[in-house]
Amino acid sequence: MRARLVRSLTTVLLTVLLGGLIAAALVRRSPGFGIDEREFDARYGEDGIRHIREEAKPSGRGILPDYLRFLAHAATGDLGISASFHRPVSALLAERFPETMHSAGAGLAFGWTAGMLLALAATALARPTFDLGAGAAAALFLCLPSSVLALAMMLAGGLGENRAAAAVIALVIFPRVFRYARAILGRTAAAPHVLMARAKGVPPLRLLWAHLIRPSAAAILALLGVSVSVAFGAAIPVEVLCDSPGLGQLAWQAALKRDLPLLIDITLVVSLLAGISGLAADVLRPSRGVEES
Amino acid sequence: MKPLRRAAIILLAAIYLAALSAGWIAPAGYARQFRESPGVRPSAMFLLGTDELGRDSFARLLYGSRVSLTLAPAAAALATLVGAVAGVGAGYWGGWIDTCLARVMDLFLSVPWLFLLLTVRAALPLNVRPLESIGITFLLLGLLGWAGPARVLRAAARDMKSEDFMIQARARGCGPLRLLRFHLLPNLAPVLAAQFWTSVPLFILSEANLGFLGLGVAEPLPSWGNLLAGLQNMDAVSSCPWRLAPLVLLLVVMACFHLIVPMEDFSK
Amino acid sequence: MNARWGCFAVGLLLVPPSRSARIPEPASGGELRFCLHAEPKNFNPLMVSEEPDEAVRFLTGGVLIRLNRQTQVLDPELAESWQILDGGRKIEFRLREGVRFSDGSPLTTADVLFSLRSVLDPALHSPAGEPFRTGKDVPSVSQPGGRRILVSLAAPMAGVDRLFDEVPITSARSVERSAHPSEMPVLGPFRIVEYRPGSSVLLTRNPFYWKKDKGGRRLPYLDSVRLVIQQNRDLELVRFLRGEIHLINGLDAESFERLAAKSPGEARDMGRSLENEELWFNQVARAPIPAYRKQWFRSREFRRAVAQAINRADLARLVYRGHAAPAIGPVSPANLAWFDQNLHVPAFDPDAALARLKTMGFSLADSVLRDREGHAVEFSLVTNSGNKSRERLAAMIQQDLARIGIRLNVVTLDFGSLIERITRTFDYESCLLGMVNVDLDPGGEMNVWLSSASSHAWNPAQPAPATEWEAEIDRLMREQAVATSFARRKALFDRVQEIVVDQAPVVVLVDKNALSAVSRSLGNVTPAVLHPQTFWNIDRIYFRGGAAH
Repeated sequence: MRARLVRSLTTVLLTVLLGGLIAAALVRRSPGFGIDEREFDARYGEDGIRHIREEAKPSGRGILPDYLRFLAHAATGDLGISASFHRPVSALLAERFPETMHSAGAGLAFGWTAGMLLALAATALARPTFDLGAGAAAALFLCLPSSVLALAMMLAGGLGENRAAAAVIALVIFPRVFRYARAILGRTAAAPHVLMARAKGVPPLRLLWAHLIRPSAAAILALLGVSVSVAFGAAIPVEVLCDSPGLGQLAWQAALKRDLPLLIDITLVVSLLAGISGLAADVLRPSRGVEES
Repeated sequence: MKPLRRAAIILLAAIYLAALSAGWIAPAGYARQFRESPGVRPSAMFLLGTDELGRDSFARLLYGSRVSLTLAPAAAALATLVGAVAGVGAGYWGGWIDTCLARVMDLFLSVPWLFLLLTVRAALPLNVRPLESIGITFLLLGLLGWAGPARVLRAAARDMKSEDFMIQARARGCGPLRLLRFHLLPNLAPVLAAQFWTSVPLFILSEANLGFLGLGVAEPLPSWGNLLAGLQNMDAVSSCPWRLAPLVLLLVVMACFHLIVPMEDFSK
Repeated sequence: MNARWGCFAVGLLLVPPSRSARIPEPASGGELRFCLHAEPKNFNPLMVSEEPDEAVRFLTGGVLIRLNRQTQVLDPELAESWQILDGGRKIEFRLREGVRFSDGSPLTTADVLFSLRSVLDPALHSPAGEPFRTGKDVPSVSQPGGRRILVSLAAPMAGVDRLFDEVPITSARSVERSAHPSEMPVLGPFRIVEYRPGSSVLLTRNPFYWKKDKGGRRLPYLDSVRLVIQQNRDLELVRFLRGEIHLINGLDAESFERLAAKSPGEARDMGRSLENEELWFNQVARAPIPAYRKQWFRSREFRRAVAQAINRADLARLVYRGHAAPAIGPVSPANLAWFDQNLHVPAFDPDAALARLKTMGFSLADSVLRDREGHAVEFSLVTNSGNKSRERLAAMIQQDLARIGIRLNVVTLDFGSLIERITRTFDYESCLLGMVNVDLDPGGEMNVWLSSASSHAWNPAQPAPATEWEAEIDRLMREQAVATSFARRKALFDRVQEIVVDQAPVVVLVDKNALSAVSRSLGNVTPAVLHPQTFWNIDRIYFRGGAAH
């Protein structure tokens, strides 16, 4: 078990490092990289523009050597200087990470709770009208742009940027969790052993826990890893709109300015979170009967 | 076929037909600007009023449906299909195949593919037609968006391969491909449907978000994404509730997909 | 009778004067709040280049001369007087006495020398020094004696005094502490006490600020200013309507209308600003575009035809809801001193545009315009994404040109990609962007009009002028830069404007109005068309009713 865990962690780490390299390559090759908006500012003369271009020019070393150099510095705690904020990336991440953790974490918790409760209720009641209503609610939140949700939250007033961001993330997560959990729970509920248990008069709560939730847990938990990525992905437009000073807002500004050090670091963080959440979902998966290797 | 499902099919077909027939239904077109009538209320001439430039909102909704109703479900289907192949394959075969594919999924979920979209857009000629440009964007979104569905399908497949019916089928001598085709995939259909269903609005809305980076639909072509983005002006929406029409239509289409795409009847 | 009058007189003495008899004084106190639309990046006043940083510098910094944003006339600030000497080669300042930094230390000539030398140092690349760098020689700064400072330029520069509105006066120890902005001693009305990244910047009154009002009260009236970092303009308006912020600069037309409907007195339209929207064609010889298109773009008749086919009045009416005006030329009439009064709004006349194109051999058939060689007239227009007004402008121009058979393909790009195309790769055909004339004086536009300049939008950094009219503009601009008489400079710059309108290398579409939101709880706010619009007189703004905000 321990060996398997070490192996899994190693593969996650390698994936994270590869993710950083791919991000570096994509950013370096994208249009607008190495361009400073001040190049079109008429206040700057020839010398000024030349200096701006020199400052913004990427090193001529190549993507892989630069990336390895970056990793070497990162190993000592130096995550580089943000080209757009002119501050150490480590300081920026330290400031912004708690905000996003808070809003994404709260959003995930509320979104999962609401989605699961509704899915369980729909499965337990097994009424088409309830299914339709719950499905309609889920569809509504899926179809509303996060910008509109964010504005609605802010307009509702009194929520503050962090809570508004958490609320919007919850509304983004909830329909996905509901839809998926409903499908899994519905399939399990139609299984013969559940029908047998119901016929034998097993109490509802025991039926729910032992015969519905436990057998479906593995499949539902798989969504956890994906929903962490979805939550952090949703955090970007939501934090920008709610002006919540988190990682999402940082990532958006970094993307607009092609801030390479910041983008690599954010990719590493998100890759790590995605990898660990996926790993956690696999580890938490209850073992089931005979499994082929 | 259940009556509700039949009705959903008819309604969806009617919407698609209306979108395809936009040229006859709204002959003024989506681009023509009636500059003396900007922002007018619905009337006989303008069924949903006009926008800020005097363009017929009903025509723009119909023409926008063509873009969004064709490209978004296609991108969602592509993402779900690729996700199914990767996820089910990883979950079913396990071992090093599963490990490798799981890590590839993690990569696809975390790398900023946005920059690939920007690079591809920059490589296209400037005078490319708006429909071609947005078509390429949706194709890329579909090819890049497979990791989410793949992850959940992987877990579902892993879970299902040790079910009794699978063990029985293997014991009876079913080969791997037959097991996949006749036993695993049909039972994964609800999960596949759920993934497809949640992906369609996601792709429609992502087109609007990508518009901020110049990757959305170019003027004057409308899309549901850029029509829905107009809902941000809440004052305008509250005073002109017909501006909610794109949202209502999207909800109707989503409901139709929900009823049409094969799923288990949970009411049994 | 006498006793009665006596009592009345005593009564008058005892009764306090009525409110209507007393002139109300501006109340002190309160915290003013408004938004910055991006994170401040640099608190070092010498290296400020972006809008949020400039706002902070305006509130905290001191300058020798200040351009009065209302009258557009130069006022003395830290320099109590100045004079231009030697035909514009020198400028001498007399420093005001008794000025202190926010930590109580006096402003000395050493501080002014440090500031000026740093700004002018080519190695530092201070943005404030850019306008002074006209050649290889570095201007020198000296102290002739007493509290006089002399700046000697390599060559005469007309209107050099106005440049000192952007030159910050600071101290070496202030610059050293710019990484910790709350520790920086400053000369302006406010000083930074707290910076919360991603959230806000809090400034409080500088207790040693040198200005006083007519009644002898030390300014500013406000206790503090909080700059809230808020990028979303819709939310900014919501916050204003809720009373959470008190000012908004640069309101867009749609938001202005929403505010005017809900709170008419708080929406302010100051009329034409110095901001416009313009379109230009790529005339770079090495641009990677088809040769026949280059030929079109280089043709004066083609550019004039396009200019004539665009309905500017509709653009102003529909996109800006009437809060803009059809542009007349490259200089807005809001620039009171330098706008050429002889110019008129170009006529919208698609028929005349078509006739002009026909003289060049173009022909219109089946609603498609073709050139002499049979190429359909089709080209792309790039602009930046995420700007709704600009995208609507592009859509309207597309329709206008379709009337004369031209197919315009609108391409929106993110700003970085756009700048790369128009400044480096030149892989574009036409471009639509907004321009802000920060400097009223044409001397500040040398980098736009000189053909060798990098910001010469349609064909930058030419080794030699590609056309006769560009050579003529070069000559006129260089001559006005050294002329000493305003009348002569005006005549020269008028001619530049006339050439630009005639040749149409840029098609100036609309001059936008300066729109802002001002809370009715504030007094003495007189928005100007020049930046920073609403808070240019921050030291005299006050809350009606005192410190309850």
